[in-house]
Amino acid sequence: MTIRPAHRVAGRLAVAAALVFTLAAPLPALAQDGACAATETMRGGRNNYVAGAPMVENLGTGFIVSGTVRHAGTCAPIPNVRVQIWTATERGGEREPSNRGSVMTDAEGRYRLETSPVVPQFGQPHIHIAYEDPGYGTLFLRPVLGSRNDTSIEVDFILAPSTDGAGS
Amino acid sequence: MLRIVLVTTVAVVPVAIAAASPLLAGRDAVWVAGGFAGIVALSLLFVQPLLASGALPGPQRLGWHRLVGAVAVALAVGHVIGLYLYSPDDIMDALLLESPTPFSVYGVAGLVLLMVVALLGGLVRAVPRPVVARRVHSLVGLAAVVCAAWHAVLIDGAMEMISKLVLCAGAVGAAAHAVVRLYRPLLARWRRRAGT
Repeated sequence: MTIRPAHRVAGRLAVAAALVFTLAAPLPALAQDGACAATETMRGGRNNYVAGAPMVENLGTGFIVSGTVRHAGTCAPIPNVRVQIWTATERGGEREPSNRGSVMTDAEGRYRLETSPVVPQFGQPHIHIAYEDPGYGTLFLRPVLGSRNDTSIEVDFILAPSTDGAGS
Repeated sequence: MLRIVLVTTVAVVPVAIAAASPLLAGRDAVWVAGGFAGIVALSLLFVQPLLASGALPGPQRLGWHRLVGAVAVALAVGHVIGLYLYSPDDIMDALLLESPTPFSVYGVAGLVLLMVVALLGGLVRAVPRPVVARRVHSLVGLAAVVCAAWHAVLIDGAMEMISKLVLCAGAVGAAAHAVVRLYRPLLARWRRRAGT
């Protein structure tokens, strides 16, 4: 049986497609590794930041900010790092000193801070989270609540070891 | 008379409800003032086209139209300055079109269009063909009102949702009515020309 040119072309196309698929197959896997890529700073994340928020027990009651901090690449939880949080509440805006504070992550890399209910500032109910210490790259987040009536928000993020090599 | 009561209600009630908002608790005066400059400006943008189009009883109120227009622009600028004093980072993000909030870009566009429309309004009597200038003025005005209304609708703030939606719909409707009124003779002329 002779193969007609048209079939030959189709055959080549099939081979090419197969090749592309085999080469491309690992790509989704790579993208999955990307799940532990370092979290990027959000637009406006740094707004109204005042460095060195004091360690606090809480910033009021009624709203819970929590999450897990992980290490870029390895996905390992990072214990004992400082997470700074600030938000607008009934006591005032994001610059109100009683609306900002720091907590440390526990052995499992988890942090948790209770605050007064979040009040929309600049037209959106949101909070701010910062990591700005040696060891890992600086990160500023600005997660938005689903609704101003929410009573909690969970924000997990991934830190990249800073290039000075101090990161664990 | 009924019309005046209706217009006043749509314009004033949203401002009054916002003034009673629990969100204002604990806020700096400059933040409240900046926010309310924007709310009152929006309310004026609803009345503004009605003053020009003669939709309110009595003669056209062009003197009032000019005054209200100037006040609306001043309030819009005051809105930006007030919020800048309270939170400069957020306003700079908005003005540089880098804001994380989707409504900021409509606010900036509305502000720019509002300045353009005020300029056009001031030029109407100075140009050879005031009718044309007035038509352009009304169209840019409609664009400014649409931006301002959409900016307000997307914001989660002191304004209450239903009264805000009614005000915004009223403002867009009033501006659209003014545009239609100015373009109707033009459309009729085109139609006549197409008919012959």
